Amino acid sequence: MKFQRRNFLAAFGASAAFLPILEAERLEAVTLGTAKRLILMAWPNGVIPEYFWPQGGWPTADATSFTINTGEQSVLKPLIPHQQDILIAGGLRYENQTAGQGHASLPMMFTGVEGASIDGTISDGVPLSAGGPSVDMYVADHIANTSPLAFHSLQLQALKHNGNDRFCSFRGTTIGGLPNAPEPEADPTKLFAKLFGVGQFADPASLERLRLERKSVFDYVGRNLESLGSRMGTDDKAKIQAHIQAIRDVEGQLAGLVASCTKPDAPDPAQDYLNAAYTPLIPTIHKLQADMVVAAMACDLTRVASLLWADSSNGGYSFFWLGNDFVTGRDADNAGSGGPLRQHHEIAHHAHESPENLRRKNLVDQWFFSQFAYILEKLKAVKEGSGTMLDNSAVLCANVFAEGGSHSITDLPWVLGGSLGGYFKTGRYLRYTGGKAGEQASHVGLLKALANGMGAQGDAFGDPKFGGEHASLRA
Amino acid sequence: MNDPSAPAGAFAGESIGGSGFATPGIVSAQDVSGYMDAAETLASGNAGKLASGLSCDPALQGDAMCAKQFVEGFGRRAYRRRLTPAEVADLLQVFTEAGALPGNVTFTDKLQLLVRAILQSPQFLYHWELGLSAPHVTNGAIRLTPYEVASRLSYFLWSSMPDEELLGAAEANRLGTPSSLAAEVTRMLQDPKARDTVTSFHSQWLRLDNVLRITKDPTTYPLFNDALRRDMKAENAAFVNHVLLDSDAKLATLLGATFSFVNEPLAKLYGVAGVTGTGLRKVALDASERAGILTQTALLSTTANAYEASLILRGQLLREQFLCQPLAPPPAVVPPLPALAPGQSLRERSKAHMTNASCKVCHELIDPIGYGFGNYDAIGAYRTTEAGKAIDASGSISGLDGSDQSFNGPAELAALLSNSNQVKNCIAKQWFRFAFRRAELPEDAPSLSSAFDAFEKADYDIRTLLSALAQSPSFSYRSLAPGELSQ
Repeated sequence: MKFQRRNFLAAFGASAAFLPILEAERLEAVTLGTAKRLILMAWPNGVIPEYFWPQGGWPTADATSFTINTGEQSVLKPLIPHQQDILIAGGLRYENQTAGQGHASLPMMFTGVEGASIDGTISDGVPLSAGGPSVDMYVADHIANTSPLAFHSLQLQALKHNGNDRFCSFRGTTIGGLPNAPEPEADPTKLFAKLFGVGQFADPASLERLRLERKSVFDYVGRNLESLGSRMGTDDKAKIQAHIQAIRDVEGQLAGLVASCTKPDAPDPAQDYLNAAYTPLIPTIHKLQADMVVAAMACDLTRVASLLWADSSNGGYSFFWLGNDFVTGRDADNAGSGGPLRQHHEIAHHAHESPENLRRKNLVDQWFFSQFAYILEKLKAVKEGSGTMLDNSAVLCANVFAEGGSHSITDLPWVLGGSLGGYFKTGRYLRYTGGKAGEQASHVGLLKALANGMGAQGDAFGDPKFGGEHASLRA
Repeated sequence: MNDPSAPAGAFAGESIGGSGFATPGIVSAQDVSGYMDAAETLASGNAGKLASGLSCDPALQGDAMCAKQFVEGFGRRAYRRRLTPAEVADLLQVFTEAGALPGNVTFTDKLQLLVRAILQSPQFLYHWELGLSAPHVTNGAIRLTPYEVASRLSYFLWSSMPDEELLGAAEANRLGTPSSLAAEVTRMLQDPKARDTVTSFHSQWLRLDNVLRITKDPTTYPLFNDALRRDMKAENAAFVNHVLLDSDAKLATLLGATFSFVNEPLAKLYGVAGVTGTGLRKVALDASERAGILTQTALLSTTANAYEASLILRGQLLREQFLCQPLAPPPAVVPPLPALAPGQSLRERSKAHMTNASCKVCHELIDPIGYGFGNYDAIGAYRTTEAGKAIDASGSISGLDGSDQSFNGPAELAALLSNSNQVKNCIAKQWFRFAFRRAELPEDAPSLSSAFDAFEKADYDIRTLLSALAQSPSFSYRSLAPGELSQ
């Protein structure tokens, strides 16, 4: 593979008149509102089914006129204003995992293959990580190969965490026992600098100079990686290829900067966002990240993002903003948990012990769906063509597993927002996503549909043994 | 560059690999951005020093001549070896091409660009053990070049690049014999850079960095705050550096010493009178209450919960890290232990583990060791009663050196551990994993066994162990990687 690169239009000082064909097509696509976006959200600890599914129980039939419960503890209540823009896909299960994986399902949830072993463990001591690319990376690779943007994709994490369960987005299978995953950004200040920072809004002459300097350095680094990598063993070679890929991603960021971008509000430099565990700062981080993702997509800096809300078990969120009893009054006997405060994981495990515990669990889950609803609102607020950016997007809000206490992996409580330019038929509650009554359908069929809807050959995504795209989702 | 702003500190986190010690992950776009930012910050922050450090004057000798001198000098430090002519030429091409950048381009601007290229290059970022051409395999092994051995030494003992003396030794091919390696180890352990490494080993081995993250119930433990967290870490660092580098380095001292390093807040916790101020100083502790690293505050705080101590976490740490017996994780859904009944001690509550067969399988390996730590609360203060009753600190270690051995309290536990072959072997293994940043393989057995012999002959002097690891065959050889071509 040669390192010398295509697409340094900015580096050559091209004006619009000299834009390569692909670039012109890209700008046109955005102007006409045909660019499509994919956002994935992952969060753990399941839900209580009775308070989640519409009509107060397990799904009984495909429904175009379904009713989201309006009760105080209805988990989906925040989605009532968006009912026509969502698709509740009932009856999905993980078929690329063994039952009981629970928290450790995280690395496999957006992939279409079985897990691969790693040198280290995920939550619950499972030594497995993704065995192939996640659907967001798969789609972003396709975009990068056809109409590259400033950012291949974004991976965000609301709470800084160093464990092997800090990834939901994967480039591919493990390399030499390590998860092959981009490091998720947990610092809103850094994310802002990267997306909307000084470099991108500097005067054109100095920006141009910076781009040329960086190109020269990256060319040098790339040449050396290629020549050294060629002499290495298989595992190390793959690591070097990943490094080269990462350089290409960063290099691409220097090219596609859009002047007419509206910057979101900058994070407060005085806040300690990286130490937000057990603090009331979490909702601020969620909002900053959501605002930046939507703004970056509105500017067409990227079209693909994943947001991991905490990690695969989330012992770090204490819900100050839901009321004092969500924080204090924790059972002192819960050995092994980190803090003296009530937190997400504990609230999920204790849900069935009392009506108060159950209420806390449901309101916590409801809050997570309000975070999903917020992103839908932000996307709706961006006008594109005759519609909104939400119409051209797919936003998947996905829990790591199904039910909190038992860690089950069937009947996943997943909700899709946006029709992806008319690809999905929203405003529905599907009983049998797989099309067969009484059977659980593979979650891979939904991921394939996302890839196809993004124009990225979804049929080639994942292991064929997990079946094809679920036609029931389509318009 | 000795830059006090340490921009490289902003890099993405490491993962904990199978060796139990930090291993770098795969380079991602975020890492590449981090390297880029750090290199740019270092280059512009030190712009003034770049040209002034040269003995070459561009006005007299020309830009190209001076750039060559810079590349050879700075490159040699960064790549930990002399650059090949092709590498020098490649960097000079970067230098020359920089002249075509738009705007005013000074000599210093071009040197800055070289610094950025060198600091982002794979030769700088990775540990290369590829030699300069395809390797010769002799008896299944490839001998490392002297430069590569120098890098291994330097990252093992200093967590940093080789200094001039070490590079000089590599250049003169003076790292090829065990005695020359031993001499380097002795010299390097006297350098202040070794102190961070000793601290880092113990932090990772005993998982002590968690003390900076854990929380304690403020009502039960009003003394516990951010300053105390840092003091606890500093106490351990001062102690292990004293034992390993300034004192006899004996394993028995590490595990059994009846002194530690405290300031006023720590002294309060230890119940030591007469210590004032924030600085740490060496104090004697009650020999019936304390035993080396086993009873220090950072270890005892991290192996405890927010409200109360945990005999389980303490027993588990000992079993896994001192006996090298990793335990299987608990099943996915374990019901929490019942709340402590009034008047019930932690030890009494944990008895439930021994009546349930599926709990017992693991907990009989854990809990009886943990019993020995009953005297310490969740932040490491000594207590003689719990729940209104005298504490029973008698415990036992099952299968230690092949038999069940009982003890009473931490001093006896420390003696038991210091005299155990299994523990001594485990400590040697832990240092091996730290030194090589990987778990041991079957082919490392001769190296481990020769290092252990030296450790034993020196009456378990850890400095001797480190030196013996550096002199072992595994340190100067590697095997051919799958897919790698040899000559």
